[in-house]
Amino acid sequence: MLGFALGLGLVSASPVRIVTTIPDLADWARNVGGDRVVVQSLITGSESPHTYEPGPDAGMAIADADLLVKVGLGLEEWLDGLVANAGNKRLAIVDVSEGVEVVKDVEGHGGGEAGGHPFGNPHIWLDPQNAKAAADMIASALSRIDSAGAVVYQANAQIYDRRLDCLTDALSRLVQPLPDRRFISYHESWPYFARRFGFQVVASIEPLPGQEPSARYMAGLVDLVKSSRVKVVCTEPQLPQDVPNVLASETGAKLVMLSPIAGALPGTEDYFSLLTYDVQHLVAALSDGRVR
Amino acid sequence: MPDFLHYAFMQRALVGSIVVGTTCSFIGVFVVLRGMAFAGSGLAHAAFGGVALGFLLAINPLFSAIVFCLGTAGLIQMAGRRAQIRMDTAIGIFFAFTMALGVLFVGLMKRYDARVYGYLFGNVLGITSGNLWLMVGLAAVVIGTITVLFKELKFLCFDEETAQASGLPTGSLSALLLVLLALTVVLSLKAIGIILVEALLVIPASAAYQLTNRYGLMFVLSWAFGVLSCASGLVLSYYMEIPSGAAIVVVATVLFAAATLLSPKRKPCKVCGKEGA
Repeated sequence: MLGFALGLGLVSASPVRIVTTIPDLADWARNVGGDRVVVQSLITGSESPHTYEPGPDAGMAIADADLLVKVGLGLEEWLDGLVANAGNKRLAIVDVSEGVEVVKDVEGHGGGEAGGHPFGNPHIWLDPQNAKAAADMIASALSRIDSAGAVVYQANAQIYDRRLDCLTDALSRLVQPLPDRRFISYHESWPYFARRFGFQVVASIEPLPGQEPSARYMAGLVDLVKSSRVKVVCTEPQLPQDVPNVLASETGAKLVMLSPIAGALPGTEDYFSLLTYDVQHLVAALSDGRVR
Repeated sequence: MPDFLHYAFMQRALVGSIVVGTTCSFIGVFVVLRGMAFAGSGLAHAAFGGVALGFLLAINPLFSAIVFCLGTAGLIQMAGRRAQIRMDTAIGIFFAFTMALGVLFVGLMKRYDARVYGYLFGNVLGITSGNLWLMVGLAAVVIGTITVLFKELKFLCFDEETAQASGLPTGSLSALLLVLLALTVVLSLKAIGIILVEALLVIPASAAYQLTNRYGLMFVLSWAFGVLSCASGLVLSYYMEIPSGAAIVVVATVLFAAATLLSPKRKPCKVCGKEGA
């Protein structure tokens, strides 16, 4: 039945053009769309979505696209102007944070204002359960654009959902045996990730998202790490490394690099390998240092 | 020991700011006596170009800043001689050119690196042990050179024509001062930042000049004002959570105002009754 449906789908018109903001969403779209879609991500992995500045090629990509997939929740501040300028009347937009149970930022040590992410923490894609909901949304949107492929999209989304469930189980099992799952994050990227896999973010180095800590705030973090005996500080490849280095060397905590976006580090080109990499390396840092 | 000194990064920041305060206050005497404030400003903007290039090429921004500043100092000298233009015109040209290059390099960077901001206004958290050694090394070169050539530079400052007539290589000495100024600007970047380093080159020495005309004493007073500004500015920036560069310059300016108010040069002459000694 599936083969027959796929066979029908092979005789298709030109592929649906999808543009996403980050590579993780692009990977989801590829898994749902298969051969019927051509997917491009504006951000390649080395840029932070908070500070990314789109160039003319981004505008052109959106002007030519059929579907735009974004995270929302204020993550891509640069996007609305770009979409308005591109003037693409037929563009459909999927906001993958729709319907997600939004969490606030972990309060930094010293008690910052109530979250610097104004609509709640936007890093929702790091929870594979949110990926499942997003895959379903993408499948629905694609089905509206390309009704001939509707069956294919729904089937692919279901397969992907199953795989995401297996991945969640497998990675959670890695974390379970750990007695101490606490770490200091750099940017507030990890609340959904931590909640899903059982880690605990004690504090974040940035007192507000995007803001470098002052010397006094850093001193407070040093005291917190030492008094609470937190063993791990995590850093991210999209951000400058000086500040986490200072915290780690001052406290003797282990520094581990985790990426919140696919495509930045070798071995994290797609969503599954990104989550696996992040969980494995964090687990290794929290235990005896060897990646299993 | 005050509580902030319990942290190694604050100890480095304090040592760094004292090194900066010392070096800037020493070279600042020549900046004030020979009217080199604009040159200091120009070199600070050249440093921006150098730092941006360092980020673009992923090399130590302080090294690229040294090369850029020395290159600019050389070009300013050459332009002054070859193109027969005044020094301030030459500086004005290269000031703008190197600044534009800096903006260009930032624009070419694939991703915005927030550390560029730290170089503009000073970021004490960014002073690593490696940085500190470089700063101490550069300071040793600057202060050592000033010490060795103390008398010659005094002659140059107070009577350039006679100095030249008596065989002193005044052209080379002027060029050397520009080089020392370039090195001072670079070593000050992390503590005080590009935008404000020119203030630290001018203000402590100006405050000293309010209180004395004597060459040797000017160095001592300038040093006192410079180190006091930097150390207390750093402490203020810690407790008030503001960029270090800004705090240092505010303190330096307050000290300058106090020196001006207390200045013997403001008092009327006891013989003729006119103000100004």
